[in-house]
Amino acid sequence: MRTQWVSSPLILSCAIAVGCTDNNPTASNVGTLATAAPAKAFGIWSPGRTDTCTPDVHNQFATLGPDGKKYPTWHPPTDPSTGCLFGHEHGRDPRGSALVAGTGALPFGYANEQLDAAGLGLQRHEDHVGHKIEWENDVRIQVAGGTGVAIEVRCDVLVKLHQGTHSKDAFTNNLHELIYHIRCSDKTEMHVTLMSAIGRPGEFVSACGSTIQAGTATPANSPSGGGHRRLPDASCLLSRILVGPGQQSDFGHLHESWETSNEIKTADGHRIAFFDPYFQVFRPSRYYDPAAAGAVGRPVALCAVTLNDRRARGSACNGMTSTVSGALVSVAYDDAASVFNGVRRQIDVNNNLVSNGDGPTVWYSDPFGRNARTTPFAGSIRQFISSVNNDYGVGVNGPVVGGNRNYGGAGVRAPN
Amino acid sequence: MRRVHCLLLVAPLVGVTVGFPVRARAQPAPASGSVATNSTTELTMRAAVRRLADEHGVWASLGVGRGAASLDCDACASATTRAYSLQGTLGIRLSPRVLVGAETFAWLDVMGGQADRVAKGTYLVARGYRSVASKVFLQAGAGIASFEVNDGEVRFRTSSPSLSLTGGTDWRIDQITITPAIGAVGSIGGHLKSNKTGNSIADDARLGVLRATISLSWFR
Repeated sequence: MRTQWVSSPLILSCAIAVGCTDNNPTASNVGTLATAAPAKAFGIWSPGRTDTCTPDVHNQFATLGPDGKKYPTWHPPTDPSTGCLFGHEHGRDPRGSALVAGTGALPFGYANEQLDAAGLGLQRHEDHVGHKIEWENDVRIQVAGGTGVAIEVRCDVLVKLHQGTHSKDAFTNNLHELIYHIRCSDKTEMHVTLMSAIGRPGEFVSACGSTIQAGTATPANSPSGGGHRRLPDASCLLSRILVGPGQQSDFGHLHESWETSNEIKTADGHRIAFFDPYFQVFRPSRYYDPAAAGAVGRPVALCAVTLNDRRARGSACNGMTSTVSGALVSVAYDDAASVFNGVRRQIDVNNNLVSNGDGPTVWYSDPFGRNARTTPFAGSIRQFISSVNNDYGVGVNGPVVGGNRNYGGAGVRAPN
Repeated sequence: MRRVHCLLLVAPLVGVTVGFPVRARAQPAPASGSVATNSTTELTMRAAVRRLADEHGVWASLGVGRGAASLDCDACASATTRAYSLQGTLGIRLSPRVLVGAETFAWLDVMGGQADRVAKGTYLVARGYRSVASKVFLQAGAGIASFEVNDGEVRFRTSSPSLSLTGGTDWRIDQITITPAIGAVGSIGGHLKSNKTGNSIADDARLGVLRATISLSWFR
């Protein structure tokens, strides 16, 4: 039954994304999902020590990709049928989005899969827990400098970014899958899937502003992109968390902002679409610490650190420590009791520019959004971009969405 | 009876009714001999208008008003607001009961901040009185209406064919005529375009303006 509701919207997405003709979830569609070849992203999750769901239960949350392969998709942190715990979450249930009727369930890892087939000499596969969905219906887009009393553009937005905030991956790797759906009252509409190149590979921007060279990216030939990944690092963080008596730790620096810059471009350089949402995560379960094993420091561990009279002070560390044999110890970074688990996130929708006034609505681009043309090719991804020009000569910025939500729940913990 | 009703319905549009005009517009000016003499040589539009004016009389009015305007489109804020307007009309009298001319109006709403909205329209109008003695008229027009939205750093403007309909009455006080009226204009299908790029933010803009006006009118 779970498979059916998950697969049904998926079949719709198949119809929209690759021109399938069957818009109805039928027994044969469900059968297709059961027999579909698995994508590399499918079946890669396995339960940790406190997760009570089996991989089989997890794998029921699947959907067909435009390529006919089986992909993982959104599921709640707790299995609704058995009550078992997955230990991770994928953000907001997309079934409430006004766009989901057209998009269907979101296949996690489709752009990564297409990258394998594109013949670009790159492979990039991401873990399962990092796929995070956010959406909002009927948000108001602000015309720059405007009051909104006369012009008011409203949009439905549905976004998925692979944004893992528990491992060293994003310290060096700038390629992350982004699924971006937006439909606005000014006829701006995009349904885009790509590998977003967020800043330069091998480096990131410290939460304090400096650029930190963190190693070699995977793949090593990852292309650079606009924007950056602003991540907390030890040199910036420790002096703000470990503070003297009478001071409060500044946990606000324990914050990641992945500032993307994405475009769909033709081979001759014409930019058909541009959008630059920022993805922010509060209290992730990691920070960059070159002195630590794997260069990954754990914020929750700072709750038990004392340097002379300096230590973490503030409510964020409440309940995070205990005394064992006279020593102060923190809960494990992957303990569900830790508040440093990356379950609070927000997206700044920002700009959504379309320059496709006389163009077709269907384009095929490579997984990076480049070389867009009107016919499919190996490794291409079908992109929908409405036939409008929405450059009004001023910035038209979307709002923040998701900032008031907390996706934590029973058993949710790092890695998340 | 049915025929009378039909006439009443059509009168605002074509101005064909029977009766006598009010005194201010009831005495056509005598035909000018010089214009009549030169009518065969002065074939320009200006000469024709002058001749019509001399033979039939001219009509002008200048008024102020207050009214509500709304621009309805998928990207338009839904607020209908009230503001003041100006209007002017210039025309000629075709008959004691029928006036034709051109009318223009502007409606300005300063909404605060950097936002304001301006509605403008220019119409060819025909005004008909129910009878020669009647002070009450209906006026219909066809023309172009525009609506301009200034919001922040960009201005959006739409312009499209428009219809107008006005009802009012003439109050003769000594040598002047005061004309209170209520009028509406409407248009559909406008493209609301940025002044900076020419790109349209909406292709379905519908404009509506409802105004109460008071004008000073002159009939000669």
